[in-house]
Amino acid sequence: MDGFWIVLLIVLAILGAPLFTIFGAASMLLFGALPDTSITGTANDVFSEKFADSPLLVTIPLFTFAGYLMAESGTPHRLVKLSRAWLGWMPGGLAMVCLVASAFFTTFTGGSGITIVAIGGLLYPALVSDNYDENFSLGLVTTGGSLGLLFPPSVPMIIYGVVAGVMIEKLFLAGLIPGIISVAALAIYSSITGIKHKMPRTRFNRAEAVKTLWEAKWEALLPVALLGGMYSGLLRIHEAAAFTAIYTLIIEVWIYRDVKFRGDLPRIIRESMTLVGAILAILATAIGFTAFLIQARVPMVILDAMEGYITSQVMFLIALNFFLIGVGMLMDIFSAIVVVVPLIVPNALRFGVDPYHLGIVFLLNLAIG
Amino acid sequence: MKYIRGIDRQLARGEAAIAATVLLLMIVIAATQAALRNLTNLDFDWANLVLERMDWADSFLQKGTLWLAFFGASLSTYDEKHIAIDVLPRIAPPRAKQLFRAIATIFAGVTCFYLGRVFWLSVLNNALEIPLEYSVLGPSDEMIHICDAPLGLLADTGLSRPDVFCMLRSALTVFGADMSTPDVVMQLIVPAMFIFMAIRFFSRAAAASSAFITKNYPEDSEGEG
Repeated sequence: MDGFWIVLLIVLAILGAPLFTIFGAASMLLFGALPDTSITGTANDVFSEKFADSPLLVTIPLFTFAGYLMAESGTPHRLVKLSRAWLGWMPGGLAMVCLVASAFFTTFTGGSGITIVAIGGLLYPALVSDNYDENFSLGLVTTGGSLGLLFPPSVPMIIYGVVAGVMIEKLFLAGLIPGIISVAALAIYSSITGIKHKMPRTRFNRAEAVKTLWEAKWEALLPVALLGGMYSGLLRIHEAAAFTAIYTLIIEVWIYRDVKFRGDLPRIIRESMTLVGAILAILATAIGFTAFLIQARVPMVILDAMEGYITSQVMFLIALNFFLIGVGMLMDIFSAIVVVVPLIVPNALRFGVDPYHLGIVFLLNLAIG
Repeated sequence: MKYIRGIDRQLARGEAAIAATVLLLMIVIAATQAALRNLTNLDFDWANLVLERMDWADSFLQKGTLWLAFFGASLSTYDEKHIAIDVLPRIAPPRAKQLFRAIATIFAGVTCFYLGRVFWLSVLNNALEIPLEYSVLGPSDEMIHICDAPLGLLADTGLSRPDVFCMLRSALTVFGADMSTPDVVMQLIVPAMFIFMAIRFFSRAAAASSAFITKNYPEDSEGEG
């Protein structure tokens, strides 16, 4: 593929062509140009354990459906009420409410932006009316949209597991402490902002706190049941996803009755599967693209180019952080994982970086970007 | 154009109905599997028997995901919700927006068409491999596909013919496809949906081109769903 095609594809991407068609076209052009290779190289990996036969891929529609179901129900209201009752007394309390509720939501919906609609839509007007600075509020709400990416069962984490071929249960575990640290860091920043600008604080009301916890008990139980089921060995990963979907369905349709089975459910399924289709179309075509990169030994070329500049693990990790923040700024998280992970993993292993540590470095930097 | 849009709307409804059915079946099957596996661990023998009969479940879940992925992708095309770097069309004046949309969707249509062709060839390639459970040893020691084996030979070997699959297989020969297993038949969804998406993209391209030429921009068509 020469310079003309590269420029043309970049122009078409800027004009709004769907990213999956950009990856698909690039992959076909590259395989077509390679001697002794069939153009079907674009498709072969899609029917392998890298995509269609991957046990992890099954979890993506199930978790996404559960996330959409919660977003369409009264869950955002209950979560905001719960967080407000428990955290509202702290300095910058409302900002913390936003962080905690967003982190919970993003775990199920990935970097899809639905958190910004579900939680941000509720909290942004409240933040502004509580005299939080408009830019601070916008930043907080949009940051919240990617804050839970390191907590199980985040969809980008699952996609990383599929692409890098690592054990997803271990990856989930690896994300917990860095995830808590990133929420805590933002919470501290919010507190400092709260104190500096003398933001209003609500008094802690024990009765109200217990009442809101009781109201949101079914949602609050979900992460506990999910993690407990997975790490006790009761649920395999795709069973955990099915459990989440069925649990959410039961509580939202028959217990809280926020969602009507006939009236709302078909629309929610359709919307969630539209997102799943958009994500998996990119994954399916980008897999062909990365198959070419590996076949053309591009990771080795990168390694050779780095030699002489990067000589230690620490230097590699520092460079990787900057590189990934840049990638995160330019690409959506799903494409970035599929394209960049196969290029970086062999080099990272050569520098002795643990694959689970690498996964968290990847996701956190892409989220920040 | 209105007539075509009406058909497309109905097709999208059908796709959404199939996606909903597949998703709900997947949820029920995976949850049943989990329950049975845990009951088996608690020494309930009947649960183990049912679980053994559900040996198709993992394959169903994987192929179901493939179907959901491509029906979802097709619905994304209908709703114009594919992930894209659409900065330029957002800030461009209305007429230029139609031009950009026309160019991007023509490209998307052509790419989907070729992707459909490539995936079709790949499925045909996968179909060349006949697994042992779909093969019968013929009289001159050659391997025959179970659907092509004479009934007498099947009776001798104690095998039974999977009639539904064999009927589907013979129907697909019209397209020059010689499918080896039900799994390979399920893979056909990928090329089929790419071709379907290509048609959708071309119809969007026609609408955008017409709007550009006639300077008639009815709505900022972010989606019709």
